[in-house]
Amino acid sequence: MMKKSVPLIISSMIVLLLVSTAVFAPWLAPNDPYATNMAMKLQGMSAAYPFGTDHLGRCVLSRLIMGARVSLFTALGVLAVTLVLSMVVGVAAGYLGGIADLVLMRACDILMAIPHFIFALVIVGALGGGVWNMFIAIIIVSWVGYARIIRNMVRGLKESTYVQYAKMTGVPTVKIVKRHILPFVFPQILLLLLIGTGSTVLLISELSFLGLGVTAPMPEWGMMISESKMYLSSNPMLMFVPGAMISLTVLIFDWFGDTLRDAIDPKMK
Amino acid sequence: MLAAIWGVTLVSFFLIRLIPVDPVEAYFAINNLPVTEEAIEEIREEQGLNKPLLFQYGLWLMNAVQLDFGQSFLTKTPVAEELLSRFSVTLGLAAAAFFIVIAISGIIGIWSVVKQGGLVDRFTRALVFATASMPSFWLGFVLVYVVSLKWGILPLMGWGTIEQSVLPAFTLALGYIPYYIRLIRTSMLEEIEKPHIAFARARGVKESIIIRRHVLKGILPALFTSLAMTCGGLLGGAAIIEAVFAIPGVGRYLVESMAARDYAVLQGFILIIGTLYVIFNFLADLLCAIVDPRARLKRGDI
Amino acid sequence: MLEIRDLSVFIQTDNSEKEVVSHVNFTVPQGKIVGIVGESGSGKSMLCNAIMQLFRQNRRYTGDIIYKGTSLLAKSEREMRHLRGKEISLIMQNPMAMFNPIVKIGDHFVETLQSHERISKHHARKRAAEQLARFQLPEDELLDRYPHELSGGMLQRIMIALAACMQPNLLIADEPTTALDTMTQMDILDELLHFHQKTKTSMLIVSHDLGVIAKMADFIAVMRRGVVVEYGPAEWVLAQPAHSYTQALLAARDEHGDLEKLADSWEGTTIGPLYEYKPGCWVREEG
Ligand SMILES: Nc1ncnc2c1ncn2[C@@H]1O[C@H](COP(=O)(O)OP(=O)(O)OP(=O)(O)O)[C@@H](O)[C@H]1O
Ligand SMILES: [Mg+2]
Repeated sequence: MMKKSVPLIISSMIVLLLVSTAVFAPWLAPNDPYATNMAMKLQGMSAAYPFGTDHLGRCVLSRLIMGARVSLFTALGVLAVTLVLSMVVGVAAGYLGGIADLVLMRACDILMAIPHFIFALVIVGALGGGVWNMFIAIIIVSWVGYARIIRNMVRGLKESTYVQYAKMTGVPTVKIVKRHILPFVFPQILLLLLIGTGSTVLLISELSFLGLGVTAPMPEWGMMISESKMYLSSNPMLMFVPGAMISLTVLIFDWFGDTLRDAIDPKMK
Repeated sequence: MLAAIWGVTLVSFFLIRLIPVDPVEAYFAINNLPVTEEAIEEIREEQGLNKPLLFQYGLWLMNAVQLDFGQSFLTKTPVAEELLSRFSVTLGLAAAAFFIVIAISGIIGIWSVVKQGGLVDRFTRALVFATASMPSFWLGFVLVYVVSLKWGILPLMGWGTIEQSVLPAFTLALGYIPYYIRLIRTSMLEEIEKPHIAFARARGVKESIIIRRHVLKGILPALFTSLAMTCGGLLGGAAIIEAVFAIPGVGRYLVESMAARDYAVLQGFILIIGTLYVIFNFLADLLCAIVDPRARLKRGDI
Repeated sequence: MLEIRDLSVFIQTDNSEKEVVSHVNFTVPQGKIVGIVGESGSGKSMLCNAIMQLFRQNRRYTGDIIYKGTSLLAKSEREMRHLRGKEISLIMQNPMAMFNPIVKIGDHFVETLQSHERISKHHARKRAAEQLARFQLPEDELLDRYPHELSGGMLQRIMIALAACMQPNLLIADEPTTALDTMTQMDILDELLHFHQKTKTSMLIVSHDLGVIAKMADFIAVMRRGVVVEYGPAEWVLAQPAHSYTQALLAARDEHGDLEKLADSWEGTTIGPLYEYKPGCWVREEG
């Protein structure tokens, strides 16, 4: 047991580090991420600008650090809202069945017919860009799948002998759900959501890359890549660095999810 | 299948229309036109937006069946023509990537099983981890930088020639290749464990026949189902890759239309994608039924 | 012809090894039937697989298996493949799982024939049909059927026909009648006996049912927990069991031996309508 939790401790510390970077970004950033300085544009590395400057003379490192905010806050926000939304609907549909179940399953069928990315793209397109709309779009796209997983889990649990027994002995529904359903479903879904956080971060960067997520001048990694594409041959670092940040973030969350899963239930796969 | 496609038309139409943004007002706002009651009414009249929603849906559906997706707000030209012509580019890119995925992951996956390569397994596991974390557009730029700028082998950007399509198609494919290597490898190994393979060996059946007739055929249903999903993913991914390589496909058109809130384009686009997706899945089911006789009993609805 | 010498089989898992067959000795003489009887989990199937040299990657052997004077353990995988199905054939336990559900019955025959000799698909199919006919199976109906469309008993018969299609010298039958109803069991055993009498093929028959072994075997080996506890000519083992486990097996058999005799003696074919021979009980008239 002790040996197994070592990777988990390390990975959660790294996640914590990442999150605190985002939280304390304004104080960590060496320069003002918004301050343009055309005289200093497209500079290489220096003491004042450790990762150089972009085409408007803004500090790349500062923008990277501030960029962590958008990605992480949005991704974690999506996680929280999706968790609540899918739990409520999934448990209702799975336990009560009836109309709630029917609506959820039909919604699943239809939403599954459109690839996630395209679906998010179109919703953002219809709503208009911006962080807020992107946030809404990603939630709309992702919650249904989780709700369906919960619904199936709850259905299985409902059939189990101990829930049947509780029902027979007249335990009120609310209590059964609280006692026997939620404690089982909740950690599993949280785990799935954590594992899915990496792909949320990717989705955010993809939408922003297309100019549909974050609006300028707010720093965001995907958009930084998009802005730097004109300078690919002269200043490739401008493009490499934010991409590496995205990869790193996704990797960290994937790894965290993996170690957490191993620690909770080594058999689950 | 028809029911599913009908479901897609519902989503395409109502999803866009139910979004609480008035497309006409948005249009004016974005194009910096003076917002007057008459002007708005005029556009509404022109686009048939003042009729009841259900009536609009019926009208739209009738036209959509005849491949008429209405007029663009922006250019006042028919959407269908533009959309379909650009879509063919995207489809070409996605198809090229699709074949690259199948070819490369098929060869490596099968090879790793036949040669019992634990090394390949570890390598692809790492590769899955890595490629799953890298944004495809970034990967595209890195490849452009290395292959085109540094080595000067392939053209930078654009679309039309074979050389121009290599990098984008490969970039698009790269994200899926490790996944498919693993899928092929693990499902083949799973298949090999089955008792009927042991019986085939006990009859002295040649290893090449076992691999071809039993193992590879056995993994086809799982592969088809997965590939159908991937087709949709590739189309979506193509939209991003187009932005990297300046390919005049539907992705760019879509982004431009979004900036202008050209909802007719969005509706038409979702309809096409959704319909294709349903068709892909139907084809996958069909192919599964051809391979696996047991699947024939359950399916068969159109 | 086949000689098992002090054979032990170890199954290797990730970090441990388990002995499932322990120091087994017996021989299968040319043209004879040897029966192995033993409870579930006693290592019978492991022994059969060891003779076929299946699952080599995660098995370790000590002792030796001598077939026609040469050691099977020393043979390469290539050499073993040529022996399997052609010289030594195995009918495996659980016929329902042994056919590939997405491959037609006929193709199972074709691939077997084509693996051992140069033969066109057309000819192979003809041979398959002949082979099925030899076992009184409706060949033209079966060749293009899929395994899931057939009953367990039918698949068991086909499996025997398939295993015998290259005229092997040694036929190993691992539980050929388990999971079948009593009447089908009888039929299948009769078919195997018939086949043996016609071709003089040596056989190794495995079962947990002493009745089956008693009916078929010239020699009997009794296995328990990986060890052969008794081995000898059938008459001796059945008449004067030396080991207490064999005695227990025999005692258990005698309790329902009467039923089997009754079933054995029944030879008629059924014709005519059902009639009620006493209130509530129905039976068909015999011809
Ligand atoms: N893959 C395996 N890994 C570890 N142990 C195994 C494995 N397969 C079988 N065994 C063990 O080997 C022993 C012998 O199994 P075997 O299948 O030979 O029994 P059997 O006599 O054929 O029984 P049955 O009548 O049920 O077919 C059993 O105790 C079983 O637990
Ligand atoms: Mg067995």
